[in-house]
Parts: sequence; structure tokens; C-alpha cells
Amino acid sequence: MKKYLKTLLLTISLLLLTVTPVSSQDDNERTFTIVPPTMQFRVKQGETLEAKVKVRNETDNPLTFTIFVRDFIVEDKLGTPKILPPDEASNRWSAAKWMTVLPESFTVSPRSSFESMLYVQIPGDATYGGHYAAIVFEPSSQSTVSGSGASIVTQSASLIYLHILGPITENGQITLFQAPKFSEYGPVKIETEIANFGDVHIKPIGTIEVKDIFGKTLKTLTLKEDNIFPGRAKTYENVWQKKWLAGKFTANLAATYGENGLPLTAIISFYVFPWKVALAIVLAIVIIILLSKFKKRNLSPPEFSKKAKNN
Amino acid sequence: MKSFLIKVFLFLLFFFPVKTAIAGNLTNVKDTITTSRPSAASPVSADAAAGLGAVSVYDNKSIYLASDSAQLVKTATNAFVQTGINVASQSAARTTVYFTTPLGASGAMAGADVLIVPITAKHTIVFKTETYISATGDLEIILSPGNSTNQASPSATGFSFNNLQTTDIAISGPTCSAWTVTASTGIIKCTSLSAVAANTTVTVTIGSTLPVLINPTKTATIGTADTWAVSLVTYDATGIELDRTKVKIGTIESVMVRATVEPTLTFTIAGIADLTQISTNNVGCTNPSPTQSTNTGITSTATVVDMGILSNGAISYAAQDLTISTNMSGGYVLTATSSGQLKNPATGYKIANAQGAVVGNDNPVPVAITSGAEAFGIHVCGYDVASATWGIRTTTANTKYALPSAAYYYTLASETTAVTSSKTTVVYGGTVSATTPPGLYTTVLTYVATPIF
Repeated sequence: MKKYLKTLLLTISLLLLTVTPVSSQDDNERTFTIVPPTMQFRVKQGETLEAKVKVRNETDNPLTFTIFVRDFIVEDKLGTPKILPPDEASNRWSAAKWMTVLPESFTVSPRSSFESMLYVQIPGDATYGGHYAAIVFEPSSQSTVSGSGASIVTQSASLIYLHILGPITENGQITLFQAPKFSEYGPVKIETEIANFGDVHIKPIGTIEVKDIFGKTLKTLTLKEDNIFPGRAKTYENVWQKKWLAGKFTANLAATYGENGLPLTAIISFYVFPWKVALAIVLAIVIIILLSKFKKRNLSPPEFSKKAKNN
Repeated sequence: MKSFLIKVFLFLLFFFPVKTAIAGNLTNVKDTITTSRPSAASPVSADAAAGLGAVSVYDNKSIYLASDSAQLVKTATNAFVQTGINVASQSAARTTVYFTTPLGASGAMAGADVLIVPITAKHTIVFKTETYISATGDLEIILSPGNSTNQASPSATGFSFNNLQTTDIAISGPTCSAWTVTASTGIIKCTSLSAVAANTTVTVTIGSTLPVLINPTKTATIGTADTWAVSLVTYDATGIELDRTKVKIGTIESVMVRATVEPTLTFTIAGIADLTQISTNNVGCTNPSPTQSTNTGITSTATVVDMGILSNGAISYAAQDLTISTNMSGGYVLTATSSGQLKNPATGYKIANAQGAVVGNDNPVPVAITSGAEAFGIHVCGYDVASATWGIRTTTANTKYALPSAAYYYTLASETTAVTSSKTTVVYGGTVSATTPPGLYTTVLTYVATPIF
């Protein structure tokens, strides 16, 4: 019996030494999906609202997430959200302090989803217009760099746009509308920049009509429907994809924005003419004419020899 | 006298029996229609002004699908108010129909107009004769009649004939030299068949070149087919009925598949093994000269990039792949911030950023690293990376690095449309000078993937 127990203990000890501890999170690759990436709400002062956000663990290992709400702003013309640190002073567009997401930390099983609830309480004296915050999802990591190097944190954020209903200023302006004044060939690139001087984000909707000198519409280009953060501008690029063009053309921008469909209009003219080809053609014609004249002269005998013959 | 008359009557009955045709059934009968979708016809429930892109209708189980060509009809006069209205969608409650074509000058009037989508179908009726049909016999096809006043409008009672012409009817098996069409009774009749032997397969196509007959509108519960009877009768040359049969065909709404596609953004980060050539790992990265490969001796993970021993005689490279997918039409943007310069916590010494002090987002611009000139930074490559900023990667000199700060981000990659598995490779480059103090240097880099605002 003693011998048996000794053997059993030895076996168990050997097993413990050789069993490799399995990490609950494989740190070589992490994939997760957030749903939805954006949410927009039109709310009144004093209102509350709730919404679900979801994260999916796309890996074969459990992932522990921490989620938190931060304000964000946009500082460039692309529309890059800049997530502000938690201790940043509230700005005109802040909203994070009105929100909470629960639960704040959770583990998602492999290939599974987890839903959290966003709770929003709009203050009774909230400034009318736009307010913006982001729900940031951050998978946690137990790993630290052992030598010189970097620890890596990954985050993905769901953006929340709030529009507090009430009297606001809506003011969008076209600050740039241009195309190359003269081109030899198409395609012709038309650049537009729209600035938002209002109190809430806008999404201009419109078209650019390219017309010839007779006013006939040759092409209708659509302005991409993008949001413009208040106090920022957005650039748009439309390309008239046609190579062989000749003459004067006009581009008419007509768009609307805001609650009341306020207009945005602009018009430019530009010229396209394949002058090298035209020059080559003209030169060819001139050469042909000259050659034919030269040939004619050589074929007819000179006047004096004709007279001499006659005499 | 009476008994005599009875005898005469019985005699006549015996010797001159009334010829009765014992009608049989046509066999193997079927009517195949090219679409079983019911037509739609809903009365307008609220006035709609000209230019609007939607109209309110009563829910009578009519279904309008995207790309349907709808028409507004004045009920009183059967006149078309507007045709060619392109349907975009219908509300789940079936009480609003949305259009891509705006309503015309007349708009739509409640109580007066009906929104219709006539669905036409070709009918192919096949049957086998039971009894011989003599030459100039008749064939009668009887459909449930629809709207005979306005034949172009669908009906709840049967098939509107839509001004069916005799040239729209074809027959094979026998020939037919005269067709008649009566919309009010639903009868299509061949009044002069060629002789047809018994057991002959006959095929009649109604709408031989294009579908003509208009399917009835829906009356049964959603999901249950409406059934309609089609009768076929054959007659001999004297008009005596020979065979008759009735079949049923069903019209059922198209199965409306409702599915929700969630808006998503998926972010993957993965380490890259040691001795991996960057361009091999990401086809969006050009291969510079000399070839750039990870060389720290340590494989990166999703959460740690170990630069190994930094040397003043060479540049150490490590790398990770960041992959983004999103179905948001506005696309995505990938940015990076850091806790600060690569720093030795014990001594406080910081290794210089490749590009120098960060003074703003993406400012200053990334620059190349030179071996032996102390510097640390990240370089990115991939299809969504701005090569004008990060370098075109043909040589070491035009492969550029920068390290963001806590306050200012660097834009790594962006795309303004939905993308699938767009890969960006982050290359970590570090080198020290001969006077860089020894020690362990660390920082924390944060990568943030968001939709574009």
C-alpha cells in the first residue's frame, strides 16, 4: 500500500512539472468587432436614453474588455476623431460626463458577443446643438515587455453624436470649389471644401453638374455624404472621368444641409483643349497644303520656256 | 288515343335516342405561370403632394417591392394619374410606400387614387385530350375574370386580360384558325381547331411573346396562396361538349426576406515573427533596398514588441500587422498615440523620437532613421497608408519613422469607404548612439481604430 501511494505521489509530481500552464488569452493575435461603430440621437434637454453596444470576440480565446466613455473632437479635414483624455476640461462639445456604460469590465468567451448598456442623462441646461463622445473598447493584457520595447494597447471606439434640440445656428459655407483652369485632357478633378460654422454637425447632400457652353449637362457628380464636425471643414474630391474634351465647361455645385435644407451653391468654369494634338493636326494640314502646292509648281513648265516654244 | 301517343313516344325514344355525349376528363392538365406573385393594388389613404417620395396606403396585403414600376390610377375614371413610379421600399406595416421617383404634378389623393403594380405572367396550359376532337371543334379556356372595365388594372376577383390580343396566343398539337377573347367572362376560345386525336398533348401559351394576363391581387392571409380555377372544355364541330376539366393555380406573394446587417468595425492586431520580410508579409508594402526584415531575434505578439538589444551599428526592426474591416460607408481611420518617448524608468533617460519633439497631430512629419544616430519610432505601410507621409519605401532613406505622444496622434491609415481586411504593417525601428546609456527602455503605444466622423 505504501509502495502504491509513493508511486502515485511521484506520478502526480511528474505530471505537475510537465503540464504547461495554458494562458487564458493567446497574445499573438487579437480580433474583436464593435457594433455599432456610430450612433446618433436627437434628444431634448433633461431627457434620458439607453442604447445597446456590443463587442464580438473573434478569436478562439477569451478576451477581457474594459469599456469607458470619453469625449472626442475632430481637428482635421478627414474627420479623424481625437479621443480626449479623461482629465481634459469639458469643452463646448463634451458629452462623456452625461454617459455611463455598464458593465465596465467583462470577459467575452471565444467566438461570442457581449452586450453592454449605454445610459445617457441629458442635463436640463445642456447647450443646444452637437455633443460628441466615444465608447472605447479596450481588451486587457497581462503581458509586459521584458526587455527594451513597447507594450501595445489596442482600442476601438463607437462614436456617439448627440443633437440637443433647440434654437441653434446652422451655418455651412463653401470655402473652396475649384478645378484646374486649363487642362489638355480629362479626367478633370473638382475639389470642394465645405466649412461648418454652426452649432451641430452637418451632412451636406448635393451634386455637381458639369455643363458645356450651351448649358447642356454632360455629367452629374454626387457629393459624398459625410458629416462635418462643427467648427471644422471637410474636403471632397470628384473626378469627371472623361479624357477627350474640348472647350469651356462650367461646374455647378448645388447642395443642401441642416434641418431646414439650407442651400450651398457655387459655380466655376474651366477649359480643356488637347492643344498638342490640335497643333499636330494643323501642322499636318499645313504641310499637306504646302506639299501639294510644291508638287503643282513642279509639274507645270515655267512661263519663259513656254513662250520660247511658241516663238 | 292516349295510349297510342305514349307508344309512339316510346318508339321514337327507342329508335331515335337523343345523342348524349358522355363528357370525359382531360388528363395531365396543368397551367404553369411564369410568376405566381400577386399584383398589388392599394387605395391611397392620405393625400400626398407633388414632389413627395412616398405615399400612404391602406394595408390590404398588397406588397410593393424595390424596383417595382408602380402606377397611380383614378378609381372613378380608371385614368392613369402617373405611371412609371419606381418603388424604393414599403414600410413593415405595409401602410407607406417609398419611391425613388417623386410624385408628379397631381400628387396622390386619398379616396380617389389607387397605387397599383400589375404583375403579368405567361400562362402555359398543357393537357391531353381524352376524346377525339373533329375538325372545326372548339377549345375553351375559362379563367376567373378580372377587371374588364380597365383591363390594365389588377383585380381581386381574377385575371385582368390587359387587352390580350389573339396574336398573343399560341397553340401546339393542333392548329387554331380563329381565337376569340372575352375579358368580361374570362373566356379564351379557339373556334376552329384542326382535328385532334385522342390522347394528344396540346399546349396553349397565353402571352406567347410577352406576359400579358395580370395576376390577381392578394386576398388570402399573407403566406397563404390565393388559388384560382382554370377550366378547359373541348367541343366537337356541332358544339357538343366532349371533355372538361378544372385545375387550380396559386398566386403567392414573393417571400420577403428581412435581414438586418449590423454596422460593424473589426480590428485585428497580430505579431510578426522574427526574420520576416515586411513586403512578403504585406503586399501593400513595397520592398526597399536593402530589404527590410524583422531582426530583433524576438517574435512580436499582439501586446508586446520587444526590440531586443538596440545597437549603434545597425537598426533593429520589429513589426506587427493591424487589419481593419468595416461595412460603414464612411470608412475608417487608424491612429496611434504613445505614453511618450522610449524611456529608462530607472534613470529617466529618453531615447530621441525619430522625428523630434511632437508639436501637433501628425507634426512633425516622419523622417528616416540612420544607424548609429539615436532614434526610435514607428513606420507604417499598406494600401491605406499615405506614402507621401510615411515614405515610398524604395530605399532606407525614404522609409520614414515617427513616434506620437500622449497629447498628439499620428494618422497611420485611413480609407473613406467600406473595406474588408485592409492590412497596415507597423514597423518599429530603433537604433542608439555610442553614448546612449545602457538600460531597459520602454513605452506604451496605443492604436485606435474608429469610423471616420
